[in-house]
Amino acid sequence: MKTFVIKVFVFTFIILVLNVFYLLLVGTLDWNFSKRIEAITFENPSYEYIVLGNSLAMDGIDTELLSSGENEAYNLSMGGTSLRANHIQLQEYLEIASAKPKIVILGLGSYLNDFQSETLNTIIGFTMDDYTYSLDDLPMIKFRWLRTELLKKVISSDHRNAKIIQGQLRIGRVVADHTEYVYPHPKFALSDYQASSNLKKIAALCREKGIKLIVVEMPGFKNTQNNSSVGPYKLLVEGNFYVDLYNLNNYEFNSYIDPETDWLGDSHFNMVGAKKFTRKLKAVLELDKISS
Amino acid sequence: MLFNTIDFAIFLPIVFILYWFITNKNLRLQNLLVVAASYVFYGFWDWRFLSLIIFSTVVDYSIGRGLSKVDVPSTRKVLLWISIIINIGFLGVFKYYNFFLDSLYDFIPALQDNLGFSTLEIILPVGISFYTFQTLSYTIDVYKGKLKPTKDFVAFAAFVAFFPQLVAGPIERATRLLPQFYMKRKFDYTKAVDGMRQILWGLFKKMVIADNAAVYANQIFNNSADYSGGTLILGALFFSFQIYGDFSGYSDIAIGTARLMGINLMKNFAFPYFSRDIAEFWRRWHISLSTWFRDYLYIPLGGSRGGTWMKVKNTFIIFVVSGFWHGANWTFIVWGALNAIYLLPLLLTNNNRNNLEIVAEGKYLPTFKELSSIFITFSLTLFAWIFFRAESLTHAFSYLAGIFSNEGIGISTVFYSEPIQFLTLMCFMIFMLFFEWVNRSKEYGLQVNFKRRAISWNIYAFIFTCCLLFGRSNEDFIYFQF
Repeated sequence: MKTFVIKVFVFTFIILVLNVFYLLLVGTLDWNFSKRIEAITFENPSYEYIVLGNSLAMDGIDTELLSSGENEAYNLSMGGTSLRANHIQLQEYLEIASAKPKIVILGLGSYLNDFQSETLNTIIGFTMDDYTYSLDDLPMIKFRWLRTELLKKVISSDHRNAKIIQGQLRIGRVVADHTEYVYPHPKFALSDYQASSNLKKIAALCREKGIKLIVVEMPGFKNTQNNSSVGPYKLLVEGNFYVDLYNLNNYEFNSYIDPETDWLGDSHFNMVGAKKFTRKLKAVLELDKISS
Repeated sequence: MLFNTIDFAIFLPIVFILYWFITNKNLRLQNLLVVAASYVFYGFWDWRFLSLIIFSTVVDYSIGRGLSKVDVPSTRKVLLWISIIINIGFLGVFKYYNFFLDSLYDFIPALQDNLGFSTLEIILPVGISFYTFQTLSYTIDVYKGKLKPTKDFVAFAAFVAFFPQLVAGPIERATRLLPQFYMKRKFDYTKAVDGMRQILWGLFKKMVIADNAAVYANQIFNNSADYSGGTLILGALFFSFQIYGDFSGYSDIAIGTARLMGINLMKNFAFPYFSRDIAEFWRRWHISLSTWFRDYLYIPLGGSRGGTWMKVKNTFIIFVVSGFWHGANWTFIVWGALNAIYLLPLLLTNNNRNNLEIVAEGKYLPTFKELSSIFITFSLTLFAWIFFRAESLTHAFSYLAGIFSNEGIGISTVFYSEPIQFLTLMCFMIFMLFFEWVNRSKEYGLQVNFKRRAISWNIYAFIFTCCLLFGRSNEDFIYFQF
């Protein structure tokens, strides 16, 4: 009996060690994870522009290009992040920031994301200060899906060579968009934005801190594009307080996108597409003017 | 409570410690712990249905006691029928009432207005088909004089509710399991290690093979009209791996858990996909149910004693009943009947007991003839699984029509949209088949004594890591619905 119990303990210990090793591995190699660690260990950051959102913004907004100086912009957005998680991210950032940002750009895709979702990104939840850990948080279970990302790095040089620059994920991989623009022309889902309580919380936080919030409908594959105008739309978030919402998934506006070279997967820009889009974004938002 | 959850990973060590360190000196107390643990295990799913198990336990215990005191054949028969009616009655109400009523109304629509009976809004208690058959086996064996009725209510309650096999088998015979609760158990190191290994193998088959194969099987079966013939065949293939991994995985975990507690449960699967004919397949698939039907239905009906016609008739009866046992749906009945039809040529030519020995025994690889037989048998079972998995007969026939349609055999994007996921699953399936083939003469696929301890520990750690990393948590077992 004694031998059996000892062996079970040793085996359990080995599994725990393997879990710690896996956590270190994903913490170092996974883009979302390493970026999250970078973001929560900032020392007195003072970025002028902060980008929030999910993988559409993480891949698609080139923060280096967005700002003229090196430390002017950071892309906090992460894959699989809900607006609730974005709100938490912004709160966390503002707590440690030595100077508040001037502008927060929230990049979303109403054609892909559920704005009502209250799901907290697993990585964000796991690394929050007040998170209560349980046995369910065993890293190999909790971050099980990241094994596929690790395997992609083993197999694909595009994934191995990808880099995080100022929070933006730059991947050179090209996947052509073979989808077709849908007829009759679909409208842009403005009501989805309007109905999101977490978007209102983000807006309220920005208002309280005197930060300008700009919401952007990110471009997607042709079959997601719409023919509503670019805007800006005035999004009523609180009392008589509005934020600007730009629909940058307008079919005609997106004519600058080359479907053969600018995407890395379903509606996600690769580094080439991200550069093109960010230039357009800067021009449309007139960021230089706002910033000065 | 599911075996593949953190809850069970906490529950089992607690029960193990209490079982071997606290209650081991007192057999009655140890059995009481088994009963309490089993009720907690079942109550995690729905504590209200514990009343059914307790009621069934009290009824069959009392009838057993009654049978021990009565010698009059007619009274004994009445007692037996009371047990059968109560146990089958539970099944009838919870599992088959709605089916019979719907079928009746479908057949004679006019009755719907005249009879006034409506279907019940009830959920099926998990494992009811399993523990009902187990308790029935006790009463029937006592009635037949094969087993002395027990005076020990706690041991009997432990036999009925023994948590490793309570909800999905193996369906134990009272003659085999009950006496084990009378005897003091002694911790056996070899048995415990073997139990742990079997649990590990079961978890691997359930979490890594079955649950990942289910992703493709569900996607394809639920949208079968959208896919080409080639994809539909792959859908059926994935389902055949899903159901095997799911159910045999459950059995492995159940048997392994019982072994940790010094209890031996019967083997439920013996590498059925390596069978060379359908008769062999049914000697290797869900053995505890097949032998239950053999002992308590086929033989009482006359078995094969009345010649070929009797054999064929009784075989059809047990296969159709077995199909119906799985679920109240015509798909299961057709699945059972289809298997009986497969068996027919073997019965008529007296070849149903040809392949009793292990395939390619003592060899690394099968002969071409053996391989062809395995392939044909597997293809037949795969075809039958389509009925088992389909939502309705219409769905099953449209699925089959899709396979044989002119849409081509192209493979859908469902597989190459996530190529890494697909390829890793294929690798794991090959890994499982390799281990099961190499160890086909053993009790389960991982029953290997490696010469070097380092190798065995590395393999166990690898398999466990795969369960954590590639498995899916908290997925139900298919056989819970039966």
